[in-house]
Amino acid sequence: MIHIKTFKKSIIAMLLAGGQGSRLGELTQNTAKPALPFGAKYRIIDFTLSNCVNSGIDTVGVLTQYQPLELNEYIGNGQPWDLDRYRGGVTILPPYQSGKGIEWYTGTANAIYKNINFINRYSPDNVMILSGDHIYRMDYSEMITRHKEQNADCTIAVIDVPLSEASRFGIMSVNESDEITEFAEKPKEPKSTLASMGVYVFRTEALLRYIVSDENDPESSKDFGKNIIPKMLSDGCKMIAYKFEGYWKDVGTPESFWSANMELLGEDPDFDLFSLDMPKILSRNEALPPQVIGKDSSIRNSVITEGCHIYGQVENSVIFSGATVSENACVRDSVILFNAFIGDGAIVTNAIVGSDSVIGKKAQIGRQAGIANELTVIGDRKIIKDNFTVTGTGGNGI
Amino acid sequence: MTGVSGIIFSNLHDRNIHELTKKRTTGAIPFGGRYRLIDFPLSSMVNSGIDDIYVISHHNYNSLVEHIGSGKDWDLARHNGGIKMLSPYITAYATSDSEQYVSRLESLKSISYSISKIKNEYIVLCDCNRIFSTDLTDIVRSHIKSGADITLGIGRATDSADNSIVETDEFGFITGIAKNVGKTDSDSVNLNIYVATREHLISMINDAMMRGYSSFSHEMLLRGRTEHKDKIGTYRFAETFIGVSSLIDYYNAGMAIVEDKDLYFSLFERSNFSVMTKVTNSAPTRYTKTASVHNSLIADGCYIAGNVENSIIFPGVHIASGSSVKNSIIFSDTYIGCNTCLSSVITDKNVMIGENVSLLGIPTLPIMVEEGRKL
Repeated sequence: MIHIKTFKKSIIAMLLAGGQGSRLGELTQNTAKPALPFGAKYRIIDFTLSNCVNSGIDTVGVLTQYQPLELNEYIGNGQPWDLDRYRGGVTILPPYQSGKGIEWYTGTANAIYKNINFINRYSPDNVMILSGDHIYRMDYSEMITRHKEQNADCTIAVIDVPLSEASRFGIMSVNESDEITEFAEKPKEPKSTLASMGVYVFRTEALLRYIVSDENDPESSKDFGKNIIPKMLSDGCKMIAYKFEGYWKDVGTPESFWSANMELLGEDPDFDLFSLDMPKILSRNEALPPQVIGKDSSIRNSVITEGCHIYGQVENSVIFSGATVSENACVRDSVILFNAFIGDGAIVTNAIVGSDSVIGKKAQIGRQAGIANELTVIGDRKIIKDNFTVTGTGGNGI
Repeated sequence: MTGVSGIIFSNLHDRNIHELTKKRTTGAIPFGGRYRLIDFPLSSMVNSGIDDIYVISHHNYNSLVEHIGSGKDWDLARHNGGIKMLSPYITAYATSDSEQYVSRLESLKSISYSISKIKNEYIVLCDCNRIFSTDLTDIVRSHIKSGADITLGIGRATDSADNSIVETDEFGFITGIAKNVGKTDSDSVNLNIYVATREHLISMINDAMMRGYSSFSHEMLLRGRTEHKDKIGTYRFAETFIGVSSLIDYYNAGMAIVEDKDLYFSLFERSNFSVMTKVTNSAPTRYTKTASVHNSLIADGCYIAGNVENSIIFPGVHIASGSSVKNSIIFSDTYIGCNTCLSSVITDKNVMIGENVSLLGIPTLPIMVEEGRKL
């Protein structure tokens, strides 16, 4: 008999990071949505990974599928999040070839099903299922404590959303003790405004039972929101909603990606990345030199990070590490991603400029006076020639 | 370059900048917005392929140990090689209070056992009192080629007035080392970078112990030269080393990297030759509507609502609106209140300066505010 070492953990997290984010267009052309840059120095997955370690979860399986190169490289051995461990730590879990054949992850539930062996290695009492697509800071440990106190089969984190947006989410109805009474995935006529955040705590035994039976159901689309949660609910499992108050964002489109970045600006920003009262968001970053600010530069209401060179004007913008804004250039209401170069005299307004892109001298990107207020997206590694004008590409970008 | 180990002396020069070394070693002095002085020799070693490095400290090493951690930010958390902090050598050879600050030679004596355990053939020795980003493989090659017993790095340093000048013969072998008296601009300053084989270094140290020497250069090197016919080679570095031999030197060095962009680029933006330091995971810096920033180096984690000009701002600094910071070096987590005016000031960490305060130094006499002070 082969001896397989197991390390008992009371809880582990399974982080779903295979999302394509197809509505993000050019921004996720070559990378999975969790690897999308956010907030001057982060990737979206940093928030979920940091939440895990800041909540005391030290074993995380990251399930990847779509364009995983950048994500795999980024997560590496998990060292930036202190997840390089002998016992636990981070493990990348891609789809694999098995005796039963070769198959991709066909749904979120199927992805977990295919990694039951990983879960069993740690024989956890509870398993967190998380999504790597969301931007938020949350202490999961409170939710886990609630889940244990209530002796629930499943606890789902929910957030109050505006009624007008409720039909984009999985919507929950709860009774006075926060037990979930009804669940509807993307309902046309929502009965409540409590939306699932895609953050679940399952009792391991219940999770495995439902995952296995769902896998054997040919009618199922193998999805947590569409299949597992409704099935558990109809079987009378004890399911609790955990209300989260705070910033939580699912950036699905270039416009929402842009506005989420803009929500970092201002005296009292909607998403307070900067609060010293909460644990830091960890990310893989080389120690780049401080920001170099030139003699004639002007910076107002912006978020800028290390490795940037600012010689021109920056206003209401988020500038990612390694980016350069040259002399006489002007960047307004824009998001400039990693290592992008804005040439001498170029004007960038209401735009997203992709990583490693070069905007030529005196080029004009984005909104001009008198033209409609549409977002302009320049993809990664694009070169815009000197004196060129690019405007209103919408989400498809160039 | 393989087969080379490094030894870094972290606090041989603490007395020179006593204002900044009350609670830290020279190696742990903050510089350039996010670095510590040890990052420069350490990164140069790592960038030159030296990945077996020993750091010697004497006292006050808390912040240094915290900075280095496991060494992972320099890729030096290794099973084979990596970085090792050698335990302090405080009392072994100190016979009275005045001798407590032991010399380079005495510190080497105290770690001779560790040196004997080094597996690599060559050893590079470096100090922490100069700022540079340079390839150290050439001095090792030069050492091997010249057949010298020990090779000494020489070159230009901005603090040459306070240092020793190396005299050489036509083949570059040392004939003497003299204190620089008045010759302010020498291109043969002793940079205190040495290369020797492990074996030769150990035999030199043992011999020096036997004879009761206490000075590395004046006794061990120069007497070794006359008594054992040791060949002491030199290697001339092309770049200028920025010396910090006093608080004013330190201030000038900071102002120099702010003003001289070529110097800045040659230190911090050489391709494949970056200066590595501890990763702090600070949030990005935010500038408010009232901010105005010119010609400065700004680290992450700051909040800037006031005016900043010709200054270096370390992580976590808060500069409230209406305030003005000029020609200053502001260490981590300093708070500067509304309508406060600082000019030619160095604030150490965690300084709190309230509203409507004026601190006006002059570039030749900057004001130093000690760690944790509240004004």
